[in-house]
Amino acid sequence: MTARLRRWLVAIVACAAMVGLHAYSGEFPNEHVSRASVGTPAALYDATVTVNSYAIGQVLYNDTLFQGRSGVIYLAVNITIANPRGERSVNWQVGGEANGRTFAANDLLDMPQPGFRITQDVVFELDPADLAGFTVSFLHRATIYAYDPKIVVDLGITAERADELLAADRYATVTTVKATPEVIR
Amino acid sequence: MPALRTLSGSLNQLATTTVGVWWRCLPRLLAIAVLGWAGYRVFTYLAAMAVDVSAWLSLFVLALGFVVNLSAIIIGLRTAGEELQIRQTVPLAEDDPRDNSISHLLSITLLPFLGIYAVFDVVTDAANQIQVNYWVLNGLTFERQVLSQLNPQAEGNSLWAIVGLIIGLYVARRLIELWFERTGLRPLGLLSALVEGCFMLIVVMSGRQLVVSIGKWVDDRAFRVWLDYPGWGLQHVFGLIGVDVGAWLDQVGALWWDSVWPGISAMVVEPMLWLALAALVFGNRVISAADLWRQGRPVTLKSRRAEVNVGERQRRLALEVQEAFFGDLNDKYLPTWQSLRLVLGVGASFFAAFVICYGVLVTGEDWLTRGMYWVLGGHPAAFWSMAGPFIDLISTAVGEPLRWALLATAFHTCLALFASRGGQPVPDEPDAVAAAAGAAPASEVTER
Amino acid sequence: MSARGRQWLGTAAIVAMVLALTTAWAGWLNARSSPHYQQAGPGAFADPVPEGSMPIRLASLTATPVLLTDRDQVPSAAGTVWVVALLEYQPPPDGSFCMVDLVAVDGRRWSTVSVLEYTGERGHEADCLAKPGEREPVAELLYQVPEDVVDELAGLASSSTGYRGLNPYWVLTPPG
Repeated sequence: MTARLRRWLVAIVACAAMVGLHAYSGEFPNEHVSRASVGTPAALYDATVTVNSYAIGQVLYNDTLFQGRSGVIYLAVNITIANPRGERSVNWQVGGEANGRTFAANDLLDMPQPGFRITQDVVFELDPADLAGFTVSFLHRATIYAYDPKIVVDLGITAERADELLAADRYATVTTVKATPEVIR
Repeated sequence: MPALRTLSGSLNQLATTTVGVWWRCLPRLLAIAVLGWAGYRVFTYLAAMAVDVSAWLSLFVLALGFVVNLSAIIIGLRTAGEELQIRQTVPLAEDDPRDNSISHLLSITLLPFLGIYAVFDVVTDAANQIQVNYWVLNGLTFERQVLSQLNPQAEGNSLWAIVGLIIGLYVARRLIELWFERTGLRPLGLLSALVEGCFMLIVVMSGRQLVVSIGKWVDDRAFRVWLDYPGWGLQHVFGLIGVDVGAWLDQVGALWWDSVWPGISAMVVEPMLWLALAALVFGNRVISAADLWRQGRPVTLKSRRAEVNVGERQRRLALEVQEAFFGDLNDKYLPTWQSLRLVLGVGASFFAAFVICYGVLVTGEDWLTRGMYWVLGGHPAAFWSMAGPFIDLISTAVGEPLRWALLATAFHTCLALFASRGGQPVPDEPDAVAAAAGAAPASEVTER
Repeated sequence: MSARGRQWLGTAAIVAMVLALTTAWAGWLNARSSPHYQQAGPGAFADPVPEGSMPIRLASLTATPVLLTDRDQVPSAAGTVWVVALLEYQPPPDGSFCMVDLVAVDGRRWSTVSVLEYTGERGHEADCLAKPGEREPVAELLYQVPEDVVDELAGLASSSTGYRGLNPYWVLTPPG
């Protein structure tokens, strides 16, 4: 190879490296992500959210209604949102993520007024293959936003744990509680 | 490997010279960058306030903002260029005094500059920013959608009115330029730059909507389905051998359009365009000189206006008409193309070194901004409408002077490389100015 | 002073000026978008929304552990009490609305209780939509707050925050 060709080859490699750097940087993030684990309270401005437990099943029993679809399991995540002194926020968004895909919850969150906390179940419809590595995220985002806080809670479902859960509860019925506010004492 | 050694040598030289120029010019460049930033910001907020009066007025104010932005870039580039003594690198007999006036430079560079910004979506981002600023100033309301007022398909707007406005602005600008050439009044040059800015913004915003609606119209036609047949045929053929070509092509397409192409356009195309723009700023004559150097011939420059004076009246009229309509071609597009060829023709090592330096600089500036956001944490939009400008100011003050120094250094390196190939001695640093002045006296420049 | 020293001085002056301008602008934006509240006179008419159109008066603010409707007695949840706010308003010709929250002294605010929380009806309407001459311009709004807040209530304040300006948001104060 001539020297000139070699130089152009090096140049192309350099350009490819820069393209790779650009791809690695990615888009400007619009969320400030902080991680939490099951059982620990995490704060979004004045309110705290705690993921208590989760359950899976084939059938969802919710408010005297049975729901079920083939090929889909329901993951009900029990959470508590406590609001000691903030304004009742309408800007919370809850979602789930697994295997690079995002999942929307079946219902909006019930937000507590100041001085109250609400324990409720957030329900996701999943493919059984998406159970491992599922994370629940809480994002506080208004209509106009720039950079918002986001809490990502890893449910800690490893692949083995997912297999255990599916073996045990694949065809169980998940009962969700009605969200009732309690006073924070 | 000698190729790697050449690359690292070019990289080293480019980086150290850039930092040297940056450090020597830092106070001036910082002042220019900060003033340009402030001016642009003032006009974007004024544009947001002008939305209540008319969307077109706010577009005009936004054009003013871009003109201020570009003026800062021009002045910054020229300051860095003076430090490198780029002008002295090219000893010219016929130096067009217009080349030194900011308003003339503005009028030459505004169109390519806005073109670059349009291609990289900065213009639509600025228009969206007007909408956001409007909401910040007036509370969230959906009554006044800024962009929709510029949409030719939206109710209340006529397509022909917008086309007429675009043509009218173009004619107005040519007339103002003719007037400017006759009288030489400086404010006219600025006015023509402003009119051109408005013209470009309207073309970009309304034109974008037009392209989208044309695309939608095509999608609605029956013949659109014909274009899908080859794809289906291919899928069928590949399906026979059991390969799902559709999914594979989708993945490749996604990889290309989501990662590779944005990377190429941001990290390879954009730096070259900016270098071409810097070449425009440093002067057409400088570019043609360097171009001619590539072939090893000495510099010959003629003014186009001088040619028009010669000949009969009809021929002169024809040339004037040609100048009126294709003057843009000679003034803007050709020089941009010439400067692109210039920078691409320098050599692989320089190209790679420049791409790496620019990429690292731009990425560093981006990470600085992200770092500041990360440190401050998540907050609602009201907080960011106050803190955002400060973060932007810091990253502009850090990044822009470095970028201008890099562009000036890169262009100077281009010229130096060409001159050394053409056998002309060239000053590398200000210390060598005396050598250059002695080496190329005016008598060597001949008319051909 | 050397030329470079003079350049740095000039740059510092320009940067200081731009920083001052930006700070002033940010401060002005902040003042316009963050609401500041002012307590109205006890039982006096005031418009909770700046540049709004309807003066409202808080006639009474009472806390009760049990809510009486025409069909039921609804006790408040454990640790909470009902707060009943009786409003009188002067509607403009086209009518208006009242979206007000119950506000405590430290800034905590509670929004009205949904009608689904209790069965039956109370004596007064739960909205301020009456136009002049239609019916008596009196409304009753219900809130549910923790017990320990009852002594720290400041009054009612508007729940909408779209206003951009420097006028205060009036907090309707209970009489007495």
